[in-house]
Amino acid sequence: MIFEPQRLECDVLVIGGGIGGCRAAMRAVDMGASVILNDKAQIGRAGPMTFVHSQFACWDLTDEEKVEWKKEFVESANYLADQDWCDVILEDIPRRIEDMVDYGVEYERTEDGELKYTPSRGQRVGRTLNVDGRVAMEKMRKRAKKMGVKLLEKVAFTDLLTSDGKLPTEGEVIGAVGFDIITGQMVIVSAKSVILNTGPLYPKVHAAHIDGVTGEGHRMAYRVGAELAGMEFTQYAIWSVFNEKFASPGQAKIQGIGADFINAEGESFMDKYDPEWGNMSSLFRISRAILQEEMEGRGPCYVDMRHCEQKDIDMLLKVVPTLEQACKTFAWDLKKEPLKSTPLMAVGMGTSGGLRVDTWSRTNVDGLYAVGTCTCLGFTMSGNSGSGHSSYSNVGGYRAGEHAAKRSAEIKSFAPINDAQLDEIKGMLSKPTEKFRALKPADIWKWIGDTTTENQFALYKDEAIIQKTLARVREIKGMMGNVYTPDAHELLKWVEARSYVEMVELCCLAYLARTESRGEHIRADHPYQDDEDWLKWVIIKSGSDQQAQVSIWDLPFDRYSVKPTKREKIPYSFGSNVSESKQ
Amino acid sequence: MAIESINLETCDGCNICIDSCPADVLRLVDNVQDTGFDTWKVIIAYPNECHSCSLCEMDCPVDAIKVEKTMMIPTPFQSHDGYKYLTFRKGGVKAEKMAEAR
Repeated sequence: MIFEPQRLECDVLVIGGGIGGCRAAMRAVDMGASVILNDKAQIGRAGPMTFVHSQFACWDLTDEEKVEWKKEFVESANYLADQDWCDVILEDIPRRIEDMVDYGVEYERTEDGELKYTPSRGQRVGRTLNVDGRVAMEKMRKRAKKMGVKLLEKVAFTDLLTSDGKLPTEGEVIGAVGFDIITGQMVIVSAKSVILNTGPLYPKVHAAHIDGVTGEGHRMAYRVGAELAGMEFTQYAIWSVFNEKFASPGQAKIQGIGADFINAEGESFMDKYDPEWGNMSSLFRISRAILQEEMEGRGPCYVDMRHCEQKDIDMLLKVVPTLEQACKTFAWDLKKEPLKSTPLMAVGMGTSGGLRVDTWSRTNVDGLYAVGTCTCLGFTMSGNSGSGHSSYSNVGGYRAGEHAAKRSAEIKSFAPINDAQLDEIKGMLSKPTEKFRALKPADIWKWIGDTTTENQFALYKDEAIIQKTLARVREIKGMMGNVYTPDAHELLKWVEARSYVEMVELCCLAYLARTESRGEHIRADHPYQDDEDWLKWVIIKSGSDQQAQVSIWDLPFDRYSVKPTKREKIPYSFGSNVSESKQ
Repeated sequence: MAIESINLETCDGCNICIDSCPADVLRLVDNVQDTGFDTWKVIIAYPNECHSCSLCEMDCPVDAIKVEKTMMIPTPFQSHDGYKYLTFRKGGVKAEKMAEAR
């Protein structure tokens, strides 16, 4: 660190510039707070919301329809949904989307100029609005800037500061520390409230929409004592590695225009594996089905869009420009040829898992809020929603901004920063830069990638293989201190790897805790969905000795309106039997 | 080097692509030895991290950047003779067999 640290102050610090972060910053500024909106790249040019952007638009629903939608959310989440959040989402979405239209976000429209709804994964009725994410997020960025939000881009935050200087804290969050990813200059922000919008957790697999989100927010919040929920539903899968060349975003949109999944014999197979949802099934189920087809000798499998209408394909390419670029580069004509699909399995939070928040987006730590996919996505936990996440971020961001601004207004002065805590963070960040060592951050990424994408671990977890993986993850975690980072760019890669490795360790603990199979979580040694004993959340938090504490929470079904019909053990089936295919 | 090329004749060193890049791959230099020019030019400083998202290509005001979309990741992948890791490299596919007998 060659420069003196940069010191900043604000009422509300928003870390992460996706839709939730932008909404939170804009709402907080509206309420009169001074706001810094941060992103480690540039807002509108990074993160999932840039590459795939859609909104689940449930306008003008009657009360009966709301009940139906809520039931659908809860059922698709295998009854683990936070039903308070379901109510909030259904209530708030219309207004939040009206705001977006007011901000000039131009959703796709029909020829008559009406908003055009398309179906999306996890929706029986098409209720998704599509737009090119780059353009939409650019608009949000401009708007935020105009409203007086201070933008702090190309700065990566790594740690939160606490009022008592302890980890985990008994006090509150009072700011954050990070560094400029180009110059390496340290940035220290004193803030009365901090809102995290750091996105889900993914490994770096060279897929544009998921490469930058590696769990920094999860890690920093976990360390100050925030609770993580649903970490066992983190078996992420993508099927959009096309023709072994390019991993494309926009899977829900491809499913939405009616793509068909076919095997080498030209047979459509998803109805066999998921009779209820068929081609609209979840990422995980589709990826697994493709692997199953290949294992049984009917591979390779293809994503077939030849029967789709040209205007739908044109819309798809317009709203997913990265796919359009790939089609141009490789001369793929979606109308003429199906695309070969290779599934990719990894530990990652596609649809669930993350910080537990209440309906005002508050975590259990004072002064710390979390918005969007870095939370446990209460309303769709372990579910199958395509565009739900962005709407949840939209609603959650607005609520977090409002609450954080009110909270900050009541706090008179900035809390003093604990010097010992600051020195410790400085020490951690400068350690990899001090002395040459042979190990690179890329080595860590390679090892953890190889470990978490291992097929048996991804598909047929049992206690032995989880323990084996956990041991390996801890071994890799131990190697983090032996890495050398010659510049700020490499330091960021090291910080990202550290977050991912530490979060994978917590995921493994959650896999061990949930002794049943449900949604994306499959335990080969417990091949049944246990509605008798396991309609529960697994919560992980950092104990006073900084060791992970796992606890099991009952869901408050006595006050929830949607209740499970039967409480019994259901054998987990997937096409052919799980245990058979293991051999 | 693998995944993209920059036409240094047309690049005017405007810095837009560096702001655009979500993976922090690009840097601005005025190094005659690297680029052959003594004005600001963009170089691909960290090629391994490019994930072929094309934002730089789409944003470049003088169309100097060309992104080739080639995956460079290990993918757990089932082929007909057992599990394999496929590593996608430029110019072909290299397969390395994983541990025997799964």
